[in-house]
Amino acid sequence: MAHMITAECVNCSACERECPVQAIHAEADQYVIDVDVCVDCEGYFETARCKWACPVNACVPERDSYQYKARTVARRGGRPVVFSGGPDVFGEMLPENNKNK
Amino acid sequence: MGNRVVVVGGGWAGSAAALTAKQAGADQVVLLERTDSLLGTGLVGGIMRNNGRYTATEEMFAMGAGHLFKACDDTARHRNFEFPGHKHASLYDVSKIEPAVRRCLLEHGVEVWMFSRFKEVEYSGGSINAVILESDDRVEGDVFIDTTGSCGAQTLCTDNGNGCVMCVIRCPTFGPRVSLAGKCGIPEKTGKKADGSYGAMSGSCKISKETIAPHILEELERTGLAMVPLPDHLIDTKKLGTKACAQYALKEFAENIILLDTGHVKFMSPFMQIHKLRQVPGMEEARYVDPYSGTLGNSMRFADLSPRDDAMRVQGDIDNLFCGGEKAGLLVGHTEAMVTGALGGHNAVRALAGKEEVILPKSISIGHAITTVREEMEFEENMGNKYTFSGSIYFKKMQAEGLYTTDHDVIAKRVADAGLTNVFEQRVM
Repeated sequence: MAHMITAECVNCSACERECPVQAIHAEADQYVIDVDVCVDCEGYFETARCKWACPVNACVPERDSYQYKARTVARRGGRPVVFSGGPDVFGEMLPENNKNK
Repeated sequence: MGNRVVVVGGGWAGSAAALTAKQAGADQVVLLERTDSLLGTGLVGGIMRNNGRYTATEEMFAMGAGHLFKACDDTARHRNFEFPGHKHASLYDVSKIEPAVRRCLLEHGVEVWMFSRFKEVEYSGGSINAVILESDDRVEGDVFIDTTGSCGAQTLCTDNGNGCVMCVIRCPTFGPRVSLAGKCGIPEKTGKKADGSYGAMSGSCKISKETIAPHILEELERTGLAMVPLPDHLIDTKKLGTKACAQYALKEFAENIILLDTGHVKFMSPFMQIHKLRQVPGMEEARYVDPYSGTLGNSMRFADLSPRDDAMRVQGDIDNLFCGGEKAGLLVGHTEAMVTGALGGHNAVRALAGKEEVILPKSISIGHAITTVREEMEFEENMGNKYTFSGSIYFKKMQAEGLYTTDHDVIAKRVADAGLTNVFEQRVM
C-alpha cells in the first residue's frame, strides 16, 4: 500500500515539504509519490501527512486512484468540446461532444 | 502524407497559427485549448499598435495575415491615444475579444477544441504522430505547432514568483500547462528576471471598474488613460525590475498609478498590496479582478522557451514541430505572439507541402525581430532581456535600423520589395 497523487494536483509542494520519508518529488505536470518509499506515514503520523497537507485532496490512498482520476477529468470538462462548422452556428451551436477522428 | 495541422495551445499565437495554416490550404486545422476560452493571457491584455507594434501590425496586414489584428481594431475601446512612452496605441476590449477571435477562426474553418489539455506526446522515427489529451483522447496530426506558452504550472509561480495568485491562466481549474516541445525531450531555456532568478512577472493587473472613483472612471473612459499620482510614501521604484514588460519600466509608472481602459481597468503594475492601493486618492474601494490576488503577485512567464530557427521550426530531433508565441523566445506581447504564431502556422503547412519555408527578411521589422531575438538568446547574459516592438531595447534597435514607421505606403512598399505581399493568403497546398 502507498498513497498516490491524482491529476488534481495543483503543484503547491505542501505534500513534499510535509512528507516524513521524502517520498514525494515534482515531475513535469504534478507531484508524484514514490510508492517504494511511501510508508503511508506508519510510525510517523496517525493519518497520511500528504493527505492532511494537500489543499485540494489530491493525495489519496493508491487503491482509490481510479475513481479520483475519473472525477478530476469530469470536473475539468470531461471530453473535449469541439466547435466547428463556421460562424453561422456560433450563437445557437451545440458543441459536438466526444468528436475524435 | 495527409495534411492535418494540430495547434497545441489556443492563445494569441495558437489562434494566429491556426488561421494562417488554414489560409495556406491545410484541409483540417485543429486548435487545442486547455481552458474554456481562447487567448490565454490575451484575456487580460489589450494594448496594440503602440510604438513599433504599429509597424508590425501594418506589415501583417500587408502580408495577408491581418484578420486577428482587425478583430482587435474592431473591438477597440480607444484608438490612436498616448500614454507615457507610448504613441498611437489602441486598446482592445478584453470582454469582447474572445468571441470575436473564436468567430473569426470558425469562419475560416478552424476546428476549435476546448477542455483539451495536452498531456502526452506520441512520437517515433523523429516525427510526432499524435498528442494525448487529459481525457485520454488521441489527436493525430501530420504537423504540430507548439503554442503552449510559458505561463504556469503553479510550480513556476511558487518557485520563482510569489505563489499562485489565481490569475486568468487558471491552472487549478483546468490543469497546468504542459510543453509539447519539452515532452519531446527538446531542451528548453528559461528567461530571467533582472536579479538573475528565473522567470518574469506579468506586468499588469485588472481592477473592477465599479470600484474606482467616478471622476477617475470618467477620465479613463473618455480618454483611455488615467494617471493618478501616488502619495510619496508609496513610491517604490525597485519593483519595476521584476516586470516582464520592460517597455513599461519607466519612471512615470513608479510615481503614478497608470490606468488604461481595456474593458476592465488595466492597472500597469505587476502587483500592489490592496491596502496600499486604497491609500491612493480615488482608489479607496479598489478591488482586483485579475489576478484575484494581485495584492501579492502576478503570474510568472518565460519558462520553457524552445530552440527554433527563423522559420519557427523547433530545432531538435523532431521534424514536424513548429512553435510560436512566448515559446519562440523572449518576445513579449500579444502582437509579438500573433506574428510568430502566424509565421509558424504558415510554415507548418509549407513543410507538409514539401515547399521551402518562408523566412522573413531583416528589411521588415517582423523578420528583423525574429532573427535578432534568436541571435541574442544564444548568449546567456541576454536571457534577462525582454524584446518587444513597443519599447525598451528592441524598439531602440528598430528605430536605429530605420524600421519604425507609421506610414502605410512605406510599409506596403517594404513588404512588396521583399516579395511578401499577401504571402499568408497564398495557398501552398
